[in-house]
Amino acid sequence: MKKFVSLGLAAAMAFSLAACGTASSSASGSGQASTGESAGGETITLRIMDSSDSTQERRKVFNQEFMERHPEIKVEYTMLSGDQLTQTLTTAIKNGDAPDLFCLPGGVKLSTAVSEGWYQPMTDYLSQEFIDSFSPGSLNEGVTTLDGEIYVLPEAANIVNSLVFYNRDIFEECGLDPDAPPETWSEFVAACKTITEHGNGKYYGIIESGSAAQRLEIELRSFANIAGAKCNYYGVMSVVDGQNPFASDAMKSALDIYAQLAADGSIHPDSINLDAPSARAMFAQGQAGFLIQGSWCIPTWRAENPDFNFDVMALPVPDDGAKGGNPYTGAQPWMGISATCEHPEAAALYLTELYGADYQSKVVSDGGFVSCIEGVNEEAMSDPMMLKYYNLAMSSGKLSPDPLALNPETAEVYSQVKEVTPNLGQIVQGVMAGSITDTAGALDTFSADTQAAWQAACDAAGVDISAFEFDDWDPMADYDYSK
Amino acid sequence: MHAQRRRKQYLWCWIFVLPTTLFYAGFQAWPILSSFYYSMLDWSGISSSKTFVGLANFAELLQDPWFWNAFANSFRYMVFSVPPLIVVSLLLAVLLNEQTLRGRGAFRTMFFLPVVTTASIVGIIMQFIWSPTGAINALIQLFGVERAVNFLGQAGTALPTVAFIGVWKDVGIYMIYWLAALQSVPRDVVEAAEIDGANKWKVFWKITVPIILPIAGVITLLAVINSLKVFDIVQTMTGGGPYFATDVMGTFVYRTAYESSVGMPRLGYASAAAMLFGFTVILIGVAGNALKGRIARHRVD
Repeated sequence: MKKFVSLGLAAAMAFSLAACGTASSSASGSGQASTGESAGGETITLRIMDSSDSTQERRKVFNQEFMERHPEIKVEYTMLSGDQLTQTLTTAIKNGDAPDLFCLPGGVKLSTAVSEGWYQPMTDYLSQEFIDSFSPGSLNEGVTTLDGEIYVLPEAANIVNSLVFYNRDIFEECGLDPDAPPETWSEFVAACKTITEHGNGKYYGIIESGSAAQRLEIELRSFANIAGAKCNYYGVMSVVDGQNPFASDAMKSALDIYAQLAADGSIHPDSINLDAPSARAMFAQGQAGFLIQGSWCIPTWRAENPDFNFDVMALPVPDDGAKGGNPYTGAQPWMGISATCEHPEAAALYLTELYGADYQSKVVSDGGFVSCIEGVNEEAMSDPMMLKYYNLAMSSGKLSPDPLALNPETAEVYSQVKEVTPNLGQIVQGVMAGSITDTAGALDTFSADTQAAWQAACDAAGVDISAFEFDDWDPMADYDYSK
Repeated sequence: MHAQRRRKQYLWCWIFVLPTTLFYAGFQAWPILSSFYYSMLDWSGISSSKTFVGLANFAELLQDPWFWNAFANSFRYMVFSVPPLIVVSLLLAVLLNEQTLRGRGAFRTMFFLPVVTTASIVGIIMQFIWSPTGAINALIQLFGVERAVNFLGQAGTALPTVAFIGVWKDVGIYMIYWLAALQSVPRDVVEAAEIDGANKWKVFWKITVPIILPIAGVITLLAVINSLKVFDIVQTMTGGGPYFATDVMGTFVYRTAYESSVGMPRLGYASAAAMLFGFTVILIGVAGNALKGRIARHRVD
């Protein structure tokens, strides 16, 4: 009965919010009455943990409003950065003290989390209407769902997060046309050189977040995939003719871009020690011509550097043309209800409102966020630069095959595979720092070590390495998941 | 009667050491023992699948060039930081021990300030100060240096720079140790020497140094062990980069235990690295202690 009342309430809530944004006062009235009844007057505490720093401010307001609408529920929200989250969560879970709602830490696949007993299935607590409000492709077997049961929801729709931002003012100062930014690798490298020479220490061609190995790996994989390496998105294992794609010519030519930029002195000298937020801030201060990052930059600059004259362009392609798109995978798993949560109805209610059109439109209109709820983006994306980013991302990005979604048995391989050091991002760091001069050799070694590590993991999991190979994958087109 | 009193005395001793013993057992002994157990597992720290692999992690470590790189870097950091730390802090202590110096308290506080500042905050601020566009480069450019030096971004200069900042941060605490040592020098001996016509330099070398030598041994040993354990200041300033040039044992263990891109992190392997290195540090501690004992005996003779 208790479950049923909450369920009905959740559905009503989602519907009223979706139907009209101003209905919140009447909705809160009914909410108070019915949930108060179901909880029998006690106060429920929902502990929530994730690492969504870019939507933090909106979340605080949302949590406050949520508690006002449901005075019987107290929300304790904790936002931690990636590494911290992994440590805190794994310790908390081991001690039986997991938060009620928490996001899947980076590097952990859903199947691992579920077999460890971290989450409980949430399908029973969600209305069909709510589930249907997600855009097609948001909830995928193997990614958010296992054996038909939804365990986690994706935070947002995935779009390409490595497009190139450029500073229009610097372009004009250096005699480059801000309306015709470089399209090929040579043009890009040349533009970086021109800007560096012109800047004479005041600004440089490109600024990188060199201490964030993850960002560097995302960029390198994007460049390489455009050159036809079929290397897939960051963190995804991908195999071509039984071999990992890291020693391919396309990958080597992509790494050579960084070697060339470093040799030209075109990379901002601070880059090697910068994390992504610092690189973003220094770019907005006019210290570099280019920055490769994602749409989350836009709202930050709008708020902190309102006069910053920037633009966005697609990632440059090899001189003889693109042989692939900027790779990205479908929506990624995010938040689920803890297996130890005592109030799954309240947790589901929180999720239902979090994915309601009201909150989703707000975060989308802030920029940098693409909702996975059907119809929200088209309505709420108000910043023209955000729209430009979105359209460029959709046209230059190509959905790549995700082994987890297509061959769920590969999850076991992911949980077995050992990290190879230095990883791809660290190799890019080495090239930028001038510590690696033989770029092809570094990739050959990495590829050989990776092959051994992947093979060992496949053997241990009893999965053939061909589960990571997709012969029908044309990197120039979105991968067809329906097959 | 006598035995009963002794027992009572023992009881009191145990009662007084009990809190510390409990804390030690809970926060030192237990983690060390469990780390020893983890070091023999093939375990990511995330999943519950743990495989007992015996000494395989240790065998792999001995062949891991990145482990040896971090191992060597830890000692390099020690070599770069301990001698200046000991010498500079002693100089400061001698200066600030001078009765005629005005505002001694203010100076002591000033040099002690970095010690109480959180290491990660120091790391973040120093990153700006030492950057190619930062204050240090602006300063050396005043003296005619043309090209900005990327102190923290070049393999050659990164570790010495981090060590230099480490010295700046810790010099205050060692200064306090030295001050304590200097106060143990009896005034009458010094005065007697001065009456006999010894100058300040002579008093320092012939009176002060021999008296504080055993304490110097302890201070050096502390500095050596602390420098080998460095983590936070390196992690915030360089994260072990550029390309592992400042990767010390602390950052190696942290990265191996918690970070990964495609693969799973390796808590078991990281624990093995920590055990192996910890064992090395213990050996150094024991050797240093023995050496200190010999010096002390020599002095008594």
